[in-house]
Amino acid sequence: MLWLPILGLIIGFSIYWLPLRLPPDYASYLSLATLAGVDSIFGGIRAGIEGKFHDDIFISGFVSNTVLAALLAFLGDKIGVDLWLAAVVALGGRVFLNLSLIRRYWLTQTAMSRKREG
Amino acid sequence: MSTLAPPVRGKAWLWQITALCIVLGMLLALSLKTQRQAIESNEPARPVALRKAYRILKQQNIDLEKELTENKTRIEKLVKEQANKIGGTQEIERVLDETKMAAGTVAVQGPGVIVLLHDSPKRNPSETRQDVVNDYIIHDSDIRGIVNELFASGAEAISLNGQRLVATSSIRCVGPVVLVNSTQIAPPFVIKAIGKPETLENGLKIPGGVADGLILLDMIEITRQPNIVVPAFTGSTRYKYAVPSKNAQ
Repeated sequence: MLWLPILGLIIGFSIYWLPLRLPPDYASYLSLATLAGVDSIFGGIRAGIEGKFHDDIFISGFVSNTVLAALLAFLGDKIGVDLWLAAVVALGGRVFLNLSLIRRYWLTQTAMSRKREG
Repeated sequence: MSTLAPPVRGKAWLWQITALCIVLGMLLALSLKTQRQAIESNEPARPVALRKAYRILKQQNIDLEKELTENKTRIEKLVKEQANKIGGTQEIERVLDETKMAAGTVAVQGPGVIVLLHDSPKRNPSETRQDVVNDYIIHDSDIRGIVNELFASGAEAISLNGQRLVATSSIRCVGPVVLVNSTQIAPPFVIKAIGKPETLENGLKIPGGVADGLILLDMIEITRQPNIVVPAFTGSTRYKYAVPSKNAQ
């Protein structure tokens, strides 16, 4: 079932070949929004695996994270502080944390099923 | 937690994640695209294009110059043929030759001096002060001074790195090179001057003259030559504004 999100990713990515152009100034904000999106996706997968998935939390988290990260970068640009670093550190850390939890879950599951078979 | 919607059961959450993955994919695509654009706009695409254009133009210039020289020789030949046909035009031909000499449109030869100008070998390489470094470099003003002095000492024809100096010639600095007759030349500068060699050399070496500072820094070499060839002026000799005046002599 894991191929579903990957398929979604590929479908979404296809707009790369659309004749769409954004001003290069937005590049850093978009990158940060992407990172926030990655964080939300991993958070969602983890919550789903743990059976604690709330769709409203997930959607609002995705939106607010992306917007906040972009806003933080924008504000940082305006006041001359590299605030986007804060977003990168916080979001990046969470991505790793969520990934480790997901990995742990999968490993436990495979170990359990192996024990059941054996 | 009680106020929130109940946790989504089963595999429904995977669908929602898929939906957001589509959005994430879009974000990723946009981000990549914009980032690449940002890099490309900073990329030296313009200098590359300029370099190419420069090469093409340079080649064109060389070709055109060759064509011009060919045409000039053809004109000369035709004029001579014509003169022979008419006959009794030796006087006209003589005047024409003299005029050409004065205009600098024929190559000439004779005794003279060759002046070699180059940047000073005495410069301390660790010296970085611009005003001091400038003293060790040949400038357009140095060349102008030398050329002026050579003409003043009776030089009859002068060329600068193969560029014949004529009535409309200019010598000026353009960044690291010097423009003569709208042609870029770079150091070392070779000035060939036809005239009485002793007079020319002495003119340059007058105490307090133009070569004084240059001699001190080893930037100038003057050699007398029994026979020097000074090339013809290859640029355009067409006048757009000036016409011969009828009233004034």
